[in-house]
Amino acid sequence: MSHGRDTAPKPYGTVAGFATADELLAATQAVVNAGYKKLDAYSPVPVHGLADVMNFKDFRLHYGALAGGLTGAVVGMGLQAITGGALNRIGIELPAMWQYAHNTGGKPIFSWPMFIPVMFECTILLTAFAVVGGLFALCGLPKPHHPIFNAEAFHRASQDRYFLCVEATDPRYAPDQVASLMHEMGAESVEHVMTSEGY
Amino acid sequence: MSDTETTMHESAPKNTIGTNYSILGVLLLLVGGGLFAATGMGAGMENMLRSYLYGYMFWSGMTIGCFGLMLLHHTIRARWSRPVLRIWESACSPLMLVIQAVAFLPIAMNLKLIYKWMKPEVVAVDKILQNKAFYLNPTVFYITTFGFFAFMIFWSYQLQALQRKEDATGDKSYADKRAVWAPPGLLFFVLLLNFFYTSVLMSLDAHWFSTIYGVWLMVGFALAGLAFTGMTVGTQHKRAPFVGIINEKFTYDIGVLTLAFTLLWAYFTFSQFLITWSGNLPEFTVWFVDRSVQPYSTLAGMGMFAQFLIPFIVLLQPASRRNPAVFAALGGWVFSVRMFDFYYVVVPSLHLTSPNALTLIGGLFAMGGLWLLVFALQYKSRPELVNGSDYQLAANHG
Repeated sequence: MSHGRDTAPKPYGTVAGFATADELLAATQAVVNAGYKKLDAYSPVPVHGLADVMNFKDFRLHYGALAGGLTGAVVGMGLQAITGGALNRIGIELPAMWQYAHNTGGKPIFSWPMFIPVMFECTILLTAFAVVGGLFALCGLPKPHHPIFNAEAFHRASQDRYFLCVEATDPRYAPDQVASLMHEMGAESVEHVMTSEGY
Repeated sequence: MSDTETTMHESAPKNTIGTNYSILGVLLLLVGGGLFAATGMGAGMENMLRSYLYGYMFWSGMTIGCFGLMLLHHTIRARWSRPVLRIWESACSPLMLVIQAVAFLPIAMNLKLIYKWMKPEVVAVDKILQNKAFYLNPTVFYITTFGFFAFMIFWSYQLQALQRKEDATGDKSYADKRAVWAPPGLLFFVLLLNFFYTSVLMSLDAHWFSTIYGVWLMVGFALAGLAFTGMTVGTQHKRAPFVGIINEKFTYDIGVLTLAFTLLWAYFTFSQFLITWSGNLPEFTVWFVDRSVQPYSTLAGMGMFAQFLIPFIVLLQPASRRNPAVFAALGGWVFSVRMFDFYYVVVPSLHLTSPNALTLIGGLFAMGGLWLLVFALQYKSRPELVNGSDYQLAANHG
């Protein structure tokens, strides 16, 4: 089968399953200490401290959320101020169809206190969009297939087992050394996983 | 606790909370008392009492805020806040509450000099006050204020006695007993606190009312309590017994709670203003009209930046939440700003005939000196940490 690139199965990594979160934490620490960088952990529940142990330093989603929030605040306030005719006050004339400068309850044209709830809602909305959209984009979702699913024991990752995968793209990756390290750390199962044909 | 932790613990110098606050307390009491007497004497009893009310209510609010935090701690059986439970317990100890009830007597015995609803000639020509007379009278005032003190003294005694028994025996089942007392306590606390602040502060402007007033002040004082706590232990995190306990995980947790209360305070403050502003009804807007003159309008603007925006931006960053030194500085900042903000809330309602900021500050300092002195004595009289065998566990997995 040819897709214009080599899609034959290649080594993906070494996957180890652990019975408890503490074992996963200890194993992750050992793997990091051994100098491996390309690794990922999978668990059915959040494990406190795992991100710290993995030296997880990817803040792209944080900045995405901040950008989304600031955009929302500016858009929310801007929408109300501009359509409400606030620009006229600083000498910028907009076409009449853009202006709804109504006198509402005798309030000023630029009624900033009243604009804050909408600005706030827009901030929340765009932050949420940025976080959810950013998460999907950064994780490459939707992803109907992932090589990790080729690990036999992995079907319990969403139930009661904790998994650690050292990926083959790591420059120090040596399947046998990783496997013996995992066994040392008390892994229940250790598998060398290949990518699937066609992916 | 591991061996290294134990060594660190023993070699670290003893904390100086008790000593610092005793010295500061005496100083503030002398300076504040002197200032209050010197500037207040000529202004007449009426002005003195009303100025005293500002200082008194700020520091009683500190006790109320810490009492609420203690109730919250026992209700949810929190683990992260155990290192600072003694601070909250000292701030709302039965002795502290009794002293505050006694310090309330000058106000309670001179209602006529403070509240206009106590003046028959005013009520006689005021239809609104006549209709509110079923609440705005001395009997209800005494019930809602001293009733609140009685409730706090009783509940505080119960919870702190149960905590002491656990400390003495190591029996963890006392936590269950506290968890039985604390949730109804929290319920009564919020309810009775509303009556307390309605009687003492909201009735200063007897025509005006805001249904969020009591809870608004409660949130503000919980924030002040957290800021005081952060400031106190954040500066002592290298001293025994806080070494290794007041760590980045602790400041992260207290930072998150402080952020939550900062947001809640801003939300209450702004929504109260927005509803009043958009409704634009004379009996409600009068409260803001009183505050639209200097120095109050400056204080209002400062509140938005100093009390909300700056703490919000600082606390939003995980890095600053993880740093005890940053959190100590922020705590000191928020705690100081709370005094200015409370000035904005209370002082215009006092309707002083000859306003003198020095008298107000003198009263605030004198009451603060008394409070800190009692706090320090209470703090010194008990071990700093509650039954501390599993602090390390809490520190690692808190």
